[in-house]
Formats: sequence, C-alpha cells, structure tokens
Amino acid sequence: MSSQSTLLLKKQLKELTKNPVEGFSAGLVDDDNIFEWEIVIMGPQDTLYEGGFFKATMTFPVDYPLMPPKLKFVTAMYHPNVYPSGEVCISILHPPGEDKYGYEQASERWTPVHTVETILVSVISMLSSPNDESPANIEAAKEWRENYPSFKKKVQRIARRSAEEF
Amino acid sequence: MAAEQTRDTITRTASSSNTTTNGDRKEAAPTSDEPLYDPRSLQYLEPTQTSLQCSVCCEYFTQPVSVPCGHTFCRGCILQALEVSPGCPLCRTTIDPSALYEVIALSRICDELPVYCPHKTLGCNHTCQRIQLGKHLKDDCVYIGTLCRVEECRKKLLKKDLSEHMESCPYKRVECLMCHAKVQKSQLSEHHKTCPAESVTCPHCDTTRTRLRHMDHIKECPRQIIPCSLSEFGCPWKGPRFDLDAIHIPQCPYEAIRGFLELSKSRMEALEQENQQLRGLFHGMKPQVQQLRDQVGQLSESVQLFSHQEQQIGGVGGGFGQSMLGYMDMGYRNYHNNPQQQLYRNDSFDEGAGEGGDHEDEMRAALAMERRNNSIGAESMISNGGPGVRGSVADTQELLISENERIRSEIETLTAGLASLELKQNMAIMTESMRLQEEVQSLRAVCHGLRMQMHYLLLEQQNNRHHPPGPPPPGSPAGGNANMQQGMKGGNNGAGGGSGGGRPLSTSGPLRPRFSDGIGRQETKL
Repeated sequence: MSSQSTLLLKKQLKELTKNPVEGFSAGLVDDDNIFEWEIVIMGPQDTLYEGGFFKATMTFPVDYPLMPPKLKFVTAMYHPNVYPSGEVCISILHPPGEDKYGYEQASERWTPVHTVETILVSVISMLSSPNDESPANIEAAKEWRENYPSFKKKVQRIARRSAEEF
Repeated sequence: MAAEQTRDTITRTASSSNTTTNGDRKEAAPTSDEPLYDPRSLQYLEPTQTSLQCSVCCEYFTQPVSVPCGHTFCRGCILQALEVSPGCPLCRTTIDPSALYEVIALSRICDELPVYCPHKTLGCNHTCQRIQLGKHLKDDCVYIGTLCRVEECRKKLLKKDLSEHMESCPYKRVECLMCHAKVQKSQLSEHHKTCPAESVTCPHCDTTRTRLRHMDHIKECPRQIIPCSLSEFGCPWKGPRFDLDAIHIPQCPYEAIRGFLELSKSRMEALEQENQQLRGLFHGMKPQVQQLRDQVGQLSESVQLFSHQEQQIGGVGGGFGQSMLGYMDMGYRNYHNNPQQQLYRNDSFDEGAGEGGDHEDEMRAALAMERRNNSIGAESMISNGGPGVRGSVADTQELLISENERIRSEIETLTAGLASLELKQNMAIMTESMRLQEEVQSLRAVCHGLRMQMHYLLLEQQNNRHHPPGPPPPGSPAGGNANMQQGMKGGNNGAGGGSGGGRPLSTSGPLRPRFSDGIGRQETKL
C-alpha cells in the first residue's frame, strides 16, 4: 500500500516539475519524505487574493490515493473556508464514508482519482468564490456577507503582506 | 494487499500469454516469494497516452476491468477503492464489486506496449512487450539479483557476475593436491599445515616421511628424549629412547623395587577411595543426628513446661514429668559416658549443642593429620629411594588403616545411639500420653459432678421462686427454712439423693432439692 502511494506521489511530483501548472508550484518539504509537500499558491487574477503568494503544506496519508491529503496554509489566510489555524475545509478533501459535517453530499467528497493538481485547482477556485454555506472561519464568512468592503480590505492586506514575506 | 495484487497480476499475465513457455509457467508458480517486478514502476518506451491509463494509479492499465457506468480501472485499483467507498471514483455511481468485466482488447493493447527492462539503471538495455518481461527477467536478464551457489557463501550478486565470482568464491571447494581431500579455497593454506599427505621431518632423528606416518613414528623414534618409565615414582633420568632399555633400566634404582612401588601405589589408591567413601557417609549422618537432637530438645522442653503446670495445679500425676525428665537425662548420661565414646567429652545432653561442632573439629583434625602423614610418607618414600622407604610407607599405611578403623567404629556407635534414642523417645511419648489420658478422664468426672450439683442448685432456686415457702424471699440465706422444706419433701422422695451422680458432698447435702424425679432427671440429662 505504502509503496503504491509512494510511486504515485513520485510520479505526480515528477510530472509537476516537468510540466508546471499555472497558479501554483509544488515541491517537497524534505527530500526524503514524499508524503509532505510544500505548495505555493499564487493569488488568482481578478480576485481579492491577487498578487499574494500563499505558502501551504500538503500532508498525504500512507493509504493515498484511497484517503485524501490535508492542506494547511502556513501563510496567514483570511477566507470563509479556511480555519483560523490555516487548515483548508473543502468537501473534496473530506474522506469518503464519513459525514461529520452533516450537510455534504457524498458526491462532493474525496475520490481516489484526485491528484495534487486537481486539489489545487479546486483550492484556487475556492479562493475566487468562497462557499459560505459551510464556513470554517465564521467571522470571515459573516464579514464577507455583511461587510464586504471591510472583508476586502483585510484580504488585500494579508495578500500584500504574504507577497512581502515571500 | 498490494503485494498480493502484484503477484496476482504477474500470474495472470503469464497465463494469458499465447506464447507461454515452460519457463513462464514455472515463474508463475507461487514458489518465488518476491514478484520479479512491480508493474506500477515500469518504464514505457512510448510517450504517455492518458487514454490507456487508470485514473486511480495514473499508470497503463494492468488487468483492466470496466464497471457498469462504463469507466475502466485496473482490477486492483477499483477493488481497493470500492473497499473505502462503494461508488465509481470518477462518477460516483454505486458499483457492485462482483459486476466487474475484464476488457480483453484493452488488456492486450496494454500488454503489448513496449517497456524497458526494470534493471535499466543497472545496465540492461533490453526492451520488449510488457507481456514478455517476465520471461526476460526469468531467463535472459543478467542484471537480475541472484545468490552464490555455494551453500556457505550465499553472497548476493548480479547474474552476470556469477561465473566470475564462482572462480574466486572463497567458500568454493578445491581439491588438495597431496591428499585429494575437498577443502574450502580460503582454508587451503591452513589445510597444508595439517594435510596428512604432506611430508614432514622428524625433529629428533632427521628422517622424512608423510605426516600420517610421522604420527606413528614419533611414538617409537629412538632418538626422542623421554623420561624414565618410573619417573612418577621419582626417577630423575631423561634421555633418548634407545638408551632407556639398553642402559638406564638395568641400573635404575627404582626398577629394583618396582613391584613394591606399584603394589603400594595401588594400595594407597584403594585406601584413599575408602576414606573418601567413609567421609561421605559421615557427612550424610550429620543432619540426621542434628534432627534427632532437636526433637529430643523440644520434647524435654514441653515435658518441663508440663511438670511446672502440674506442680501449680497440684494434680494427681504431678511428679511424672520430673521423673520422666530424670529418666531421659539419665539415658543420655549413659549414652555419652559409654566407654567407647572416648571422643565425647561432654557428659550432659544440655551441653550437647556444642558437641556436634567439637566432634566435627576432632574428626577434621584427625583427617588432616592422616593426610599429613600420608604426604610425609610419600615424600620420604620418594626422596629416600633406598631401604628406608619401606618403613615409612608401612607406617603410613598402618596409620591410615587405624584411622579408618576408628572412623568406622565411631560411625557404628553413632548409628546405634541414634536407634536407641529414637526408641526411648517413642516410649516417653507413649507413657506420657497414657498418663495424660487418665488425668483428663478423672478431671472429666469431677466436672460432671460439679455440673450436677449446679443443676440441683439452680432447680431449687427456681422452685423457691415458684412456690414461696413463706415470708422470707426465695434464695435468701435462710438455712433453717431450706432445711425445713427439704425435710418435708424428703418424706416424699427419700431416695432422691442417689440420682445426683453418687458423690454427695457434705456441704451440698442439705440443699439438695426434692422435686419429682421425672423433671429433675430430664433437666440433668439436658
């Protein structure tokens, strides 16, 4: 099982290094550990996050691709679907079979055909259009809904700071 | 699970091949513990065609199966995925794991894809269809790992290096040119030092022969320096073997008394052995003696205690304990004053605790002396080497014999003493227990009488309460009243006194109640 996940992750890493995808870059945190990836997501154009460089770590379980990885922002992030701790809460990263949130369709959850690329494409799409039905950061969700200018200001500030830190 | 699946894959690949050879079938048999290659890590010649890839493992299909919704996956991948979630990984349609259909054409297309040998990194440039990879690895690839054929070596190496290694394998057997024995190559030079066919020169007589014959020769080489055959008795002569019989033996002073020396040696050995046996016997007796001594000690203590109580109570057989004690003490005195027991200087049993130690010390001293005498005898015998030897040896032997005799008699007396002690002890216990039994019986009788009296007293008291005889209250010490009452009733039941156990005491006589016999007896029985 672990050798299957290792092979698959190596293959994906090789593929992403050879043919980078626009919008993010991926590499290993530690070259000896294929299960811990370092991701940099560029704030998508025409969104509040434009111009930001957001670092995140992606941690794979040994039974990948049967189980989803975890994605956590290292850079400060302010978004309705990202916990204040940085952990990303999107339905495709939730393991199948279990519905601890109670409102998700099984159709939205993890399947083994997802790759690093498809996950990150989903995350980039999440940045441009938050899903306020299942907020991870309630304060951000509320502000996004009720006081958009203030939300915008905050997000632009963290995007700018992330670019400076990067 | 992955390993199983992989093996399964290879097995199937081999069996589905049209060009299966004998070799392939052997490979497919589950005799090999490790699969020859991992189908997921193969390197293909053609650029990746995503349409021929499984979307779960992102590799070319191995054993492709289609699911009812039309999607295709590797058999292993879809079975694993269905264990976690029952839907198709691509469209999430629910799938029954039994409804998987092999896609034969696709399977063939993928099996015919050209691949590199998995040992490309080691230098194998072979390419073939995927289906033939198993055969290549089994029969042709020289970059596959293997083990040295020599049992002791078992070194891991590549197949191509095997023949080279076999030439130089240190564990390979080679034949010794001299003795034709098979020897490990690395130990050949070591073998030459002990090879029986190698020629060696005798260090004593400078003649040369094979080592095998040298072993026999050295036992009779006439020039070898050897000691006199009587050197164990002290002959200091040393010289070449041919001088021993020719020159030395006729003039060796020890040779003259050889018969006597050997006789005394064997005698001495026999004596030493006997001595050893006796010593063992003696040591075996010691704990028994100690045990008996402890038992007697306990017994005398208990008897003493009993006699004390007896004196306080002033009972019938009070003197028995003391007399018993005296008897036992006397027995021990006799035992210890036995004229044969000269070693025992203590004459009372109470001091017996130290006695064992004393006796032991004496024994030890005697043994030491004997040993000293022995050695002195032997020394003088050896150093004198003349006519004086006979006397000292005889002395030693006599001493040894007498010593043995003494030890034996001591052990006998000890055994006899033990037996008599045991007998006496048993007797004492028996007599004492009989006496005690009698005592208890008499006490029981007295108790019975007392109980009867008590009953009469109680009954009378009760009677007084029920039928107050007049103005004085019941139980009052009005002796006159009681006497009068008793006198009145005594007329009715004159013989009533006899039922009281037949031992009327003078003080209780006038108080005896005179109830109807029926009630009185019933209560007494209770």
